[in-house]
Amino acid sequence: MIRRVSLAALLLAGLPALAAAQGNRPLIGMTYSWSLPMADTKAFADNDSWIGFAFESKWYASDNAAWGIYLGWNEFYHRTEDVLETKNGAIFGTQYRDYNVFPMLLTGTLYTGEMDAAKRMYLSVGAGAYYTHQTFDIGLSTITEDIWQFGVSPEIGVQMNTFRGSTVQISARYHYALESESYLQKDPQTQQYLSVGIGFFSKVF
Amino acid sequence: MRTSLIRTLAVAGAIGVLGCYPSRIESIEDFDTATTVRAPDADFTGVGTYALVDTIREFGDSTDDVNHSHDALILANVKANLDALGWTEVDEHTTQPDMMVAVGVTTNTNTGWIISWWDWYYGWWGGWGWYYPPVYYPYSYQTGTLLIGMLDTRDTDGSTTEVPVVWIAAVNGVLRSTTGSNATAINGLVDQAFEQSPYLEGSVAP
Repeated sequence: MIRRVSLAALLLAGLPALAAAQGNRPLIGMTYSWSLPMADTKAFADNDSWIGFAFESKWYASDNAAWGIYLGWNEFYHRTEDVLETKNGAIFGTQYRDYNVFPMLLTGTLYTGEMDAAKRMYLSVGAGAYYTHQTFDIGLSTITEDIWQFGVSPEIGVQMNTFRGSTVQISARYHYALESESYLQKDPQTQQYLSVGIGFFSKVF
Repeated sequence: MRTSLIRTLAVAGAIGVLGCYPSRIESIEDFDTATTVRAPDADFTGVGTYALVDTIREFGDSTDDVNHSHDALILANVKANLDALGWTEVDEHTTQPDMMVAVGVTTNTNTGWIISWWDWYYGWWGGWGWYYPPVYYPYSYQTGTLLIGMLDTRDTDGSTTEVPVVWIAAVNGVLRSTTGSNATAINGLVDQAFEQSPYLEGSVAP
């Protein structure tokens, strides 16, 4: 484990130098996204989300490849008065269901075209940790759970160069966190949702 | 110019997102709940008669005030729901009912195991004792929670010392109904408790 962390730290520390060696300054920016819950996530919180932010940075390894970091936050909530069936009974009441999901990913991205092209398509894959804070309210009762999962996140998008090295990115990203039994539901649950976002990036250093 | 545009967009975005941020509590009704639990081996097939205790008993050792001015309305509504099951009310002093039904209200806040719910039947009916089915659930109820309990008395006679509790409903309108003036709301939750327990009709598999 320590070896893996050290390798990641070495990799991250070396990225700016690598980028500088390539003459391409790294990108740093924010993304706002709308998200649609899928699968187990939808079963708990069947409501699309307009609360989605991510901080991203990308270091170019070449004109057509970059490594990066993705730190995101998406919230899914759902109010329902569905009767909750239990093993030997049922509970009626307004339920408030909430997921706060925080993906923390290392990403790899491949671009089409030249670095200074007006538009470039890109394909990215992220992998890392997903932290979820789950809340369930009914009546005066609130129960919560904190869950850590490993997950992957493919992304496809288009990057548009604007001026002075700034770019705008429009993308679709799918989040898939592997099954965990730590959720309040107790049955193994994945965390899955599709995000469509727009990001604003600037070159740094 | 560019900086001010970005700031404007950021502020507008923040306002927009905060406007969309979910509100957990939108009205006092959001606190209302109706919880029902039945004994795992309870069988309501063939139930035809019941007796309803004519007072709402208080449970708990608190000095909290509980408003009993709407007890008659609440008991009438419980009776209406029992009648709707096709059951007939009888006088337990002259006819042994299939089910004994009692209504209570809590006067303090408790948390623990649902098994304790059965406790409030202890000593209620003279010569009868009580026992509980092996149901273990964590629970909490607050002052003003209305509890409706049902005992299966079909297999009892003068020598019976233990009677099983087969169904309990906990209705919580704590912030208004039980201790307040809105009996209509609490009765709506009582209706819900029966509605979500279709197995009481006997023809529905639990």
